[in-house]
Amino acid sequence: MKIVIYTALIFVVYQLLLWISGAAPGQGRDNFEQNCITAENYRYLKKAPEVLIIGSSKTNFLDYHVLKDNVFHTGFGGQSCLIGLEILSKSKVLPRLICVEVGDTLQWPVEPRYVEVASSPFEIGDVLSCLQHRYQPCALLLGLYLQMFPRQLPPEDFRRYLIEIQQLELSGELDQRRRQKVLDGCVQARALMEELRKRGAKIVMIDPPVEDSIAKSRYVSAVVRVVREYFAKTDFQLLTPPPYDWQTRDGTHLKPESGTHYSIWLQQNIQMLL
Amino acid sequence: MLFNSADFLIFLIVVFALYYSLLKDHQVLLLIVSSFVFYAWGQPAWLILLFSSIGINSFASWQILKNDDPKFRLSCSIVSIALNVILLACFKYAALGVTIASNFAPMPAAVLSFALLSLPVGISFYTFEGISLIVDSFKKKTNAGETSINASLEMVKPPTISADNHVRSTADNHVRNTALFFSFFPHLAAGPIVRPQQFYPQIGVKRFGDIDWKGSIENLITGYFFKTVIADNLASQTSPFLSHFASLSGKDVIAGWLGFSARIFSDFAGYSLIAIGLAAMFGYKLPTNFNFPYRSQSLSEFWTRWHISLSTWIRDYLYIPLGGNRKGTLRTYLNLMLVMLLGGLWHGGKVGLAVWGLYHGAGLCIERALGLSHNSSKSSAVIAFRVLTVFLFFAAGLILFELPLHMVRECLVSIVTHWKFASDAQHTFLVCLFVLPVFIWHAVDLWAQKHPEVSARKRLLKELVLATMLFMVITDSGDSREFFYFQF
Repeated sequence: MKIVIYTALIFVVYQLLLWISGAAPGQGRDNFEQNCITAENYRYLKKAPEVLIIGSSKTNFLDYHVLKDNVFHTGFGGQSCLIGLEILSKSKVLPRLICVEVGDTLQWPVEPRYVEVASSPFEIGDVLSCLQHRYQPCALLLGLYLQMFPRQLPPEDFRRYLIEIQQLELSGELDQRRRQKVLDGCVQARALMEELRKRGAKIVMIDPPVEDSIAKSRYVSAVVRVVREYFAKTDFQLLTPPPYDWQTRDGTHLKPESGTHYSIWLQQNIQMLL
Repeated sequence: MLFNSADFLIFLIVVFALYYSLLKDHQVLLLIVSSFVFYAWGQPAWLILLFSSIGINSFASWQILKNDDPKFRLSCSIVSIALNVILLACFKYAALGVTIASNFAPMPAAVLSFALLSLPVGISFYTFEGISLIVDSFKKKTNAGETSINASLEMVKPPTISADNHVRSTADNHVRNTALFFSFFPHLAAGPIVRPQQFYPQIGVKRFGDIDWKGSIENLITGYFFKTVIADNLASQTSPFLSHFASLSGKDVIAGWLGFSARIFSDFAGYSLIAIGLAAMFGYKLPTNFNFPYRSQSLSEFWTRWHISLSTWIRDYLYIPLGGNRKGTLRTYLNLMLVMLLGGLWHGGKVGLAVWGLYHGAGLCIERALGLSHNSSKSSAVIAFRVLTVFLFFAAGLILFELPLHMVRECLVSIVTHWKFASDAQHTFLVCLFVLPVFIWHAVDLWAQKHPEVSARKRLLKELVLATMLFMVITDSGDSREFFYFQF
C-alpha cells in the first residue's frame, strides 16, 4: 500500500514540475514514440492551423522557420499521408489548405494507433499531461540531450555509403503484390482527400524530393510512376518542385540547405494558394 | 496471452476474483481451466499438444508409481521420455531437419509446410517438466506422484468407498494435479521450469489471507519494470542495430550488442519475476530463475545464476547422469561440452545455437583447466575484472545466439571496417539510459551483500525505488512486444 502512495506522490510532484517549468514537449526515443508525439502535438494544438502538411518523415526535414507560423506539419516516420488524412477525417475543424505528400511512401502500411492517439474522444493525457507520450521522463531527457548535443549531419563518406546501400536495396522490381498495395493506398488516399475537400478544405499534393540516384532507382521510380498515373486521373493539383541538386542526409531526408530551398519554394506556392 | 496485454489484465482480475470467492471450493479446477484458456488465447489448435503432454505424462507417471515390476517401470519410463522428446523434436527441430534432408532429397510440400509452422507456446518448458516427472517418478526420489497419491488417498478415504472407486479417485487426482503442474498459467509459456517435488506438495486449498502480498507486489513491479521499461525500450534500440549492422558504425553495433545483453536479461528475468509474482497471488511459490547473473565472477557461477531452472535441470538430468566431474578430467570436459551443446540446441534448431552452446562449453572447460571456476580473490579490482570478463564473454556469445551463423563473420568484419564511421550519439545515449538500471540493479545486490543489516532507512529507500519503478512502468513503457522466450 505504501508503494502505491509513494507512486501517487511521485506523479503529483512530476505533474507539478511540468506545470511550473512549462516544459516543452520531448523527443521520441524510437519511431513509435516519435509518431505518438507527432500525433499528440496535433491533438493538443490550441487552434487548427491555417495550413497543414501531412505525410511521412520526409516532411519533417523542411525548414519550418521559412514556412510561416500558420503552417503546421504532421510527418509520421515509416508511414504515409494516410495517417494524417485519417486524423483529419475525424477532426471537427479543418485547416484552410492541406498539403498532402503523395509519393513512394504510399506503399507503407498504416498504423491505426497513431490515429487513435490523435483522434480518440478521450485520452488519459487530456487530464494529466504527465501521461502524454511527449512528457514522459524519457522523452524529456532525450529532448534535453538533443538540445545540448544536436544531431550532426553524417560525414560525406558515410552519407554516400548510406545512399549506396539504399540504391542496392531499391534495385529490385516492383512486384504485382506490392503494386496492388500501392494502388490500394492511392485509392484510400483519394477517397479521404475528396471527403476533406467536400468539407471545405483546399487540397494540393506535394512530394518532397529525395536524392536523385534514389529517385531514379528501379523500385522507387516504379512506385512513383504508379502513384503519378493514378493521381493524374484526378483533379488534385501536384506541386512539382523546380529542378535542383537536392541533397539528402541518407538518400531520403533533405539536408538543411536543400530543406530550406524546398521550403522557400513551397512557401511561395502556399501564399498563392491561400 | 501475454502478461503485458490488456486481455491478460482482465483475465487475471476475473480468475483471481473467482479463485477466492465463488469458486474457492474448486480452486484447482478453476486454475486448470483458466490456464487452458490462457494457453488457447492465441493458438487454440496447440491446446491438443498440451492435452497430449498432460495425458501421456500423467498416465505414464501413474503407471510407473503404482507398478512394482522394475522392468515394466523402466520400459514405461523410456517410452514416455521418448514420446516427450519426439514431441519436442517434431516442432522445434523440424525446420533444421528438413533443411538438412532437403540437401539430399526433395521434400514433399506437406513436410515443408509442417516444418515452417510456428512453434507452439511453452512446448520446450512443459516437455522438460514432463521428462522430470517421469524420471523422478521412476527413481521414486521425488514424492511427486506419491504425494499426490497419498494426498488423494487421504481425501477419498471414507469407509463406504469401494476399493475400485478408491483407486480411480486417486488416479483422477493424479491426473488433475499433473494437469495443474503442466498448465499453471504463470509458468506455462516461458517457465521457470518447475520440478514435481517443488509443485505437487503445494497443490491444495488456498486462502486470500495467506497471500504473500509483499513478495508478490515486489516481484510484479520489478518484473514489469524490466520487461516493459527496459526490455521493450531496448528492443527498439537494439534490433535495428543488429539486423542493419552493415550500414552502421562499429561503435554503434557494439553499443547495440551491449544493449542486447541487457535486453535479453531484462526480458527473461522480467518474465520470470512476473510469473513468480502471479503464482504468489494464487498461493504458489515458483523457484527463482535469475539471481543477478551479471555479477558472476566465473562462467560456472554465471550458469548457477542465469536461467537457473534450466541449468539445474540440465545438471540433474544430463550432466550428473553422464558422470558429471566424477569420471576423470577428459570425461568432465566432454560432459561439459555435451550438455552445453544440448543446452544451446534447447534454445532452437539452428546451427548457430549449437555453436553458441559449444562456445560456452569451451569457455567452461578453459575456465576449469585454468582453475578459475571458484571465486577466491578478495581484491575489488580483481573481482571487477572477472565480472567484466564474464559479462563480455557472454555478450560476445550473443552474436552467435541472435544472428544466423553465416552473418556472424560479416558482422565482426563490419565492426572493424566500419569503426571510423560516424556514430549515432542519440542511439548510444538511449542504450546507456536503459542499460544503466540493469547494472545498477546488479551493483546494488553486490552492495547489499556487503551491508546485510536491515534498517528503516533501507526499507524506505527500497519502497521509493519500487514506487519509481511503478511510475516508470506507467509513464515510460516501450511499445509492447512479445516476451523473448514466449514462443519457445
